[in-house]
Order: sequence, then C-alpha cells, then structure tokens
Amino acid sequence: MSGWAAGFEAVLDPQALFLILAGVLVGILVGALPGLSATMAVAVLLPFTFALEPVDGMMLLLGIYGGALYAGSIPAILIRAPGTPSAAATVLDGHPMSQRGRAGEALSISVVASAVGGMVGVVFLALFAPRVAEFALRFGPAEYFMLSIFALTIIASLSESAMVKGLISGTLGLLIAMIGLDPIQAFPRFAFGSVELSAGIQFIPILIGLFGVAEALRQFERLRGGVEERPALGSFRLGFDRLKRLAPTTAGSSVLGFLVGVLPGTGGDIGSFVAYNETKRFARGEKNFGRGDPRGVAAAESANNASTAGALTPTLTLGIPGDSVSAILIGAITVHGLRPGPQLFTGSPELVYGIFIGFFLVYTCLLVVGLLGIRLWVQLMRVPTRFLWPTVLVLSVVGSYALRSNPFDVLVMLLAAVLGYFMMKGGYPLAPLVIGVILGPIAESGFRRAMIISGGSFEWLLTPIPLTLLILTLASIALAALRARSGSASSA
Amino acid sequence: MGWRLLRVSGLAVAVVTLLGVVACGPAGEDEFPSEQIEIIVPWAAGGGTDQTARQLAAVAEETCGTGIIVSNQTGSTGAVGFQAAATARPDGYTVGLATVEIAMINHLGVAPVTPEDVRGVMQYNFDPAAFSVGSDSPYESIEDVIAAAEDGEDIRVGTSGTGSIWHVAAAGLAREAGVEFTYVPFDGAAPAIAAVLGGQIEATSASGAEVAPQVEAGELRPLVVMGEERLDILPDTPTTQEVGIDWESGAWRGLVVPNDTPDDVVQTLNECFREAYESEQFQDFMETQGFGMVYRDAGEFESYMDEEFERFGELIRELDIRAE
Amino acid sequence: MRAGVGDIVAAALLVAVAVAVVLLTLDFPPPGQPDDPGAATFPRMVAGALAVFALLLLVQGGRSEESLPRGRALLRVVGVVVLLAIYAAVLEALGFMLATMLFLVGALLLAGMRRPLMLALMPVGVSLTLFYVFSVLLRVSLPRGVLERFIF
Repeated sequence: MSGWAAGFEAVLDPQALFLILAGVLVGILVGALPGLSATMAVAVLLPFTFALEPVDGMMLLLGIYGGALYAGSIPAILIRAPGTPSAAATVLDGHPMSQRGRAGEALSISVVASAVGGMVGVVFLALFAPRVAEFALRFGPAEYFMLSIFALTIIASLSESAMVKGLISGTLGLLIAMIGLDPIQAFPRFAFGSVELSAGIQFIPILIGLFGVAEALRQFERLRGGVEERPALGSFRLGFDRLKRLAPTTAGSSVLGFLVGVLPGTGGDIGSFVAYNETKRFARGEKNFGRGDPRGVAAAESANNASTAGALTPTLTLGIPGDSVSAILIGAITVHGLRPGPQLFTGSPELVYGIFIGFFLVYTCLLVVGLLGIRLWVQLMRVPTRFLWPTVLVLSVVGSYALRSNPFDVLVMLLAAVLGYFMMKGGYPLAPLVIGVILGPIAESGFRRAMIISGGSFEWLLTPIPLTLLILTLASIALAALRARSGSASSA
Repeated sequence: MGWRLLRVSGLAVAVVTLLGVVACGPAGEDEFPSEQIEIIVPWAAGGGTDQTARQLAAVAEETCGTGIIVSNQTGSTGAVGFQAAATARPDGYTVGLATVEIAMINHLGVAPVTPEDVRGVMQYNFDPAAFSVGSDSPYESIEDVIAAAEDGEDIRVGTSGTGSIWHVAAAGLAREAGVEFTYVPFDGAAPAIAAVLGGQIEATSASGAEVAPQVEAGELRPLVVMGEERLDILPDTPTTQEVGIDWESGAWRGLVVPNDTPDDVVQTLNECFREAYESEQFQDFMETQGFGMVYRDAGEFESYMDEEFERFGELIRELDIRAE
Repeated sequence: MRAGVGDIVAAALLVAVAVAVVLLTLDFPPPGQPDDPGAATFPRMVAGALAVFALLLLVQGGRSEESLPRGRALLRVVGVVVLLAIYAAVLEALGFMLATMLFLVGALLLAGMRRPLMLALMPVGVSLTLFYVFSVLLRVSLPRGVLERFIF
C-alpha cells in the first residue's frame, strides 16, 4: 500500500500534472498528423526529460503516448486518413459514420472509448502485470506464427460481401511486405539491386497513400465548380443509452487490446483489428459493420489505447519493451540509474506506482481535453473542400517524407494511392491489404524461427498455445465461410 | 466562418514568422557552422544508437553553436543511412552516424557502401558483445556451453539478425572455440532476450547494456564478455581473454562526413563534438545507460574503420554467412 | 454474377504478378540453415494463393462499386497524380516551402480556384505554417532550400 502512497505523492504535484496535460496536447497533435507517430515525438522529447525527476519525465512521455494513440482516429473519422497505424481499423466504421452526418457522434465515441480503453488497460497493468508478463514470455516463434495466422482470418470476415476480392487484397499485402531483406537470411528479395527496395516498403507511406491520398483523388474526381456540399456533423452528445449499449464492446475490446499489447512486437495496430473482428463476430446485426456502426469505432479505439498499458507490462516487469514507444521509455528509466524489472517495483515504488497513477490520469485528462476539443477538430469539415484536400495532400507528402527523410517513401505513398484508388473503384476492400502488410512478416519469421528451433519438425504445432490458436483459426474460417454462404444465398 | 478562420490563422502565421525571423536574426556568414546541422542516424528513433545520437546532438547544439536536427534514415541494416551520409553535400552540414555495420554490409552482400565512402570525424562508443544464458540454464560458464556443444548438443543462440554484429560475434566465438551453434535471428536484441527468458532457445548474444536489466533481475546469466576489459555493468562476468579464447568483438558508433569534406570543417566538427562528448551531461548519460565510452579522433577513427572492414571481410568469408 | 471486363483485366494482371514472383524466387539463395524453409518458400506460397484467387475472380466475378472517371474528372485525377509526382521529385532540390507553394498553386487551380489573391495567400500561409510546425516545433528534418535558409 505504501507504494501507492508514494506514487500519489510523486504524481499529484503541479509540475507532474502540467506535464501530463502538455504531453496529451503534443500527443494529440502528432497523432492527428499522418506520418508523425508517438514513437517519433517520444524519441525527440526524451533528451529533454533527463533533467526532470524520473516520474515527471515519464508523465510527459506517457501523455504523448496516450494522446497520439487517440488522435489517430480524428483524421480517420473525418477524412478517411488514419493518423497512426493503430487507427486503420477506426476508418472502417468511423468514416462511414462521418459520411452519414454522424461525425460528431463518431468523434465523441472515439474519445470516450479511447479513454476508457486506456483506463481499463492501466487497471489491468497495475493488478496483473507480473503474471501477464510471464504469460507473454511463453509466446515464442511458434506461438507468434499461429497468432498471426489466426489474425489473418480477420481478412475473411472483413470481406464477407466480396470474399475473393478481400482475399486478393490481403494476399497483395503479404507480397508487398516481402519486398526487402528477408527476416531470417537477410537476403534482399525483389530488390533488383536497389538499396531503397532492399530496405523494404515502409508501412506508414502505404497507409497514408492507400487511405488518405486515394480518398483525396476521389474527392478531386468529384469536385464540381460552385456549390460546396457540407456533410452534417450531427450531435456530439452521447446519451446514457448509447453509452450503455457500447459498454460491452468497449470492455471486451479493452481486454483484447491489452492482451495483444502485452506481446512484444504486436501492438495497437493488430489489437484494434482483432477487437473489431471479435466485436463483429459476437454482435447482433453484424451486417451494419463497415457501414457506420458505432460499435466498430468503440472497439477499435478502446483496443488501441488499451494496448499502450499492455505494452508497458513486459517493459516494467521484465525490461523487455512491448513496442517501439515503450522501448524508448526504458531509456527514460535507465538514464536515472534505474533498471526496469521486478527490482524496480521494490526499489523505486514511487516511479512504478507513479506510472500507474499517472497513466490513469493521462487518460482522465484525455477524456476532458478530447471532449472539449471535438468542437475544434470538426472545424476541419468546415474548411472548403478545395482548400482541404490540397492541404491533406501536402500533409501526406510531409508525413511520408518525415518518417525517414527519404523521397523514396513519397513515391511509395503515391503508388499506394493509385493502387488504393483503383481498388476502391473495383470494390476491393483496403483493410485486408493493411492486415497482410502487418502480419506477413510476423507469420513468416515466426514459422521459420520455429522450424530452426525445432530442428525441422512440426511438433511445436501440438504444444498448448499453438494448438489452441489452430483450433480457433479453423473455427474462425468455418464461421466466415458459413456466413458468406448464407449472405450470398439471401442476396441471390 | 471558414473564411474568417482562414484569415485569422493567416494573420497568426504572419506574426509567428515575423517572430521567428526576429528571434533567429540573420545567420552569420562564412564561419562554419552558420546553419543547422543534420545528423543522419541509420537506425530507428528510440533505439540505442538513436538515443546516443540525440543526446550528443542536444549537448553539441551548445558546443557547436548551431541547431542540430536528427533524422532517422533507416533500412537495410543501416545501408540507407550510410549511403545518404556518403552522398550528402560535403559541406559539413550533414553528418552521418556510422555504426559497426558500415564495415560489414558490403561483405554480407547487402549494399555496396563501405568505410571508404566516408571520412571519420570521431568515434564515441564501443560496446563488446556479451554471451548470456537463462538463469535456470544448466550452463554455469562458457566452458560448459562449449563442452555441451562438443558433445553434440544443440546450442540455439538468439541474435538480432543474420549478419548482425551480435551474430558475427557469436559465430567468431564459436569458431575460436572450435564448436558450432545454431543461430536464430530475431528482429533486434529484445525479442532474442525474451526468447531466452521464455525457454525457447538456450542463449543470446547482445551488448552488455542490452542484457543488463535482465541480469540485474536475476533472469539472465552472462557467461562471457567479448572485450578487452570487464564491463562496469557486468563486473562479475569474465572476458574472453580470461577464459582463454582469443576473440574480441562488439559494436561501435561514431560520426562521419562525406569524403570530399574540407579538412578544416572536419577539424571544427571534431572539436565541437569532442567537447560535447566530454561534457558531464553526455558522460553521465552514457554511463547510466551502460554504453561504453571509447574516443578516437578523426584520423584514428578513419584507420580503425578500415581495420574493422578488413577483419570482417575475412571473418564473413570464412563463416559463409553472405546472403547471396 | 459473371466476370466483367474489369475482373478479367485484374485477374490477368494478378496472374502475371504471381508468375513474376515465382520466376524471381528461382534466383533466391538456398536456406542458410538446414531446417530453415528458406527465403523463397513464403513468396512462392503467397504467389500461388494469389493466382488461385485471381482465377476464382474469373469464375465468380465480383461487384464493381464505381465506374472510372471520364472527361474533366479524369483529367483532374491524373492531374493530381502528376502534380504529386513532380512535387516529390523537386522536394529536395527546391526545399520544402518553395516546392509546397508551387504544388498548392497547381492543386488549387485543378480544384477550380481562380481568385488570384487566394491562389497567392493560401499556398504561402500553408507552407509557412507547416514548415514552422514540423521543422521548428516538432524538429522533423524537412528539405531546406533558399527560402528556409532565409526565413528560419
């Protein structure tokens, strides 16, 4: 209990609270700008936190982390351009809601779900950290392989109305991810002797091109001189009823997002798709998903924010970062002569419990700032489209370039935009391609590592976790096939 | 509404710009450096190399008297960033961060870039490799591991990628000891360490700083450090020399500029970055993070890179780990 | 549902990609370790799947959601893509601000903006704001040209 007291004492001081607020604001800015990520902002600000007390510095960085993961949803909802990879799943229902004049509602849901997801994650982190971290360690290459195969079945259920096209989209994603050094032998595949290609195709330019820029192309196509059509924004209020109806989705997705976040190497991007998929699977009226179902937004946003606390779990208890942001947070801890791990809990309780309390406050702060800010974000929709879309294009170019200061990434973004444009025209769902790009490398490297470790035998398939995942995968495929059949039977 | 917003923001921009111009003032002429310097880090934001670069840059902004910005030009085991640094305008305003990989990737068949393409400014770090096993492992010493490998047991060593410095370090150790390991390449050192903790593999080869948290937590047992001296962060772990293996290897980091950069510019860069290196802030940072401090000046670093390039050439050929 | 022209073209392209992938993998090195399936295995499997799905597309067909643009609409879309390509190509040579201003003038013209004042103010305002936010506040490295050196 004294740990909690020490934590409260460290966090409840004006400077720490101010840093939380500042962090959340910076996080919202970088999260909403496509191409700028929480990782980049945290890395840039890290050196400036060294002069602060460990707890205070941590508050700033955690604020950025939470703020950025939420804010990726803002452009995802309003202009179909996810601001962070984790908001890719938010596009699925968030943008349709906005098109149907429910942008205000979608933004409100996204704030509340993000904050609640984050808080649930922090509570799980505080209560179960050591035990959950032990579980994460049991995930070896074989487990990652089967997990990614299970997650790939999301492609099938995301594209029930256009199964073959969804599968093609996902397969293209897998192929794109294979360009560059292969994960085991470091052989440059499909590089044609180019250093740029052998470095592989970056994920963020693909995301920016496929969604934001492809949408901009479509907007340019539709532009007509004179009259501007302004979509209605709808109400911002969330009634008690609505909140109650979204509660089960948010709770379940928070837990799923947290668990996926715990596993090193998997984070909010996968977590939000998994949560979206499970929500859809167990929801009534699942036909509404993809057409502006509020539950889709709630699932994706609560999961990706819950994954932040998940990522901190192995970071604090084992010193093994759960994702790229928490890897930097390790640096913020060690620079003060402290080491993450069990001894951190006993050695500096004010830091550990300060992080728990502070991260919870980050999400409280996010809830307030986010709800107040919505009215500001939606002003974006009042900008005349002929100014809005050229600016979005500039931001897309900057976002692609800024990642590595490399014009090659802008080219990739442009090609992805053209591909995305044709895919939209042809009725090919885009989300499966994103899922393929994210999961392909995890699946391939997991499988090949598992084979090397097992000396060429497949016995790893029969160990408990992979076997469970295998059964879930088969069940998931069977269910999707069943639904696709009943769907096509009813529409025929 | 939209129009008013636009006009107001336009005004705001004008004011901010004006303030910016007034605050910065006209840049000094001729005297190097009069403009912002960019450091190209070939590794991702937030990683070990990036952290050292950003810390060095933060201090050097004062010692060099100009703004310094860090850009992460990642990809192909560093090749993209090395190439960008080598082909930048040779005016000293673009400084590359060179890591040990610049002496390796050409031999590995990853990219054509070599230390010949750049000029050294200074080296600021060297981290020897550490070979560690899980704390519940039956192997108490590196001799145990070697004996087990000689008996035909499969020792699976996690590395941060095929052809990475930690892979080559472990492979060199095995060659000196006359045994063979199985190498499992991971995406960085952290997942390789996690795989040892999870019991999926027996050992990992990484820098001392990377395993220190788990060593202190009693979850990893470091068996040998492949450097000349014991590490401050792993004081109880013997060096390779102490256990009778003639093999040293590790990662280093330094600053480089394009080949045609003038001597006086290199000299100025070396002086102000050296001052940053010697600052208390940077020394404290390196020490607490567990990064080894080794300094070489421009000329020494240049010839050190060449020696390393030669050495890795032989080793990689002998170990046959070229990708193609 | 029958396959339309779009589906036939798409299927042909996809099969071509799949064949190209398999042909390229023929030059991949053998596995570095005996138990590793090797660098070529996964690409071949995925290419095979792609070919199968492409053939399924021919058999089943699929809904096409929107028709491709014609006339002025087509011109605008192609125009934006060309503008973006030029923008990317001159970004490092001209510096961020100049390249962005030129791009924005072009994009506004394409979008039908004809008022000279707006064509001048908006590009200047947006490029200055963005450069300030990214380069000065967020310390992101953007290409610096004449304008950036002069102003910041």
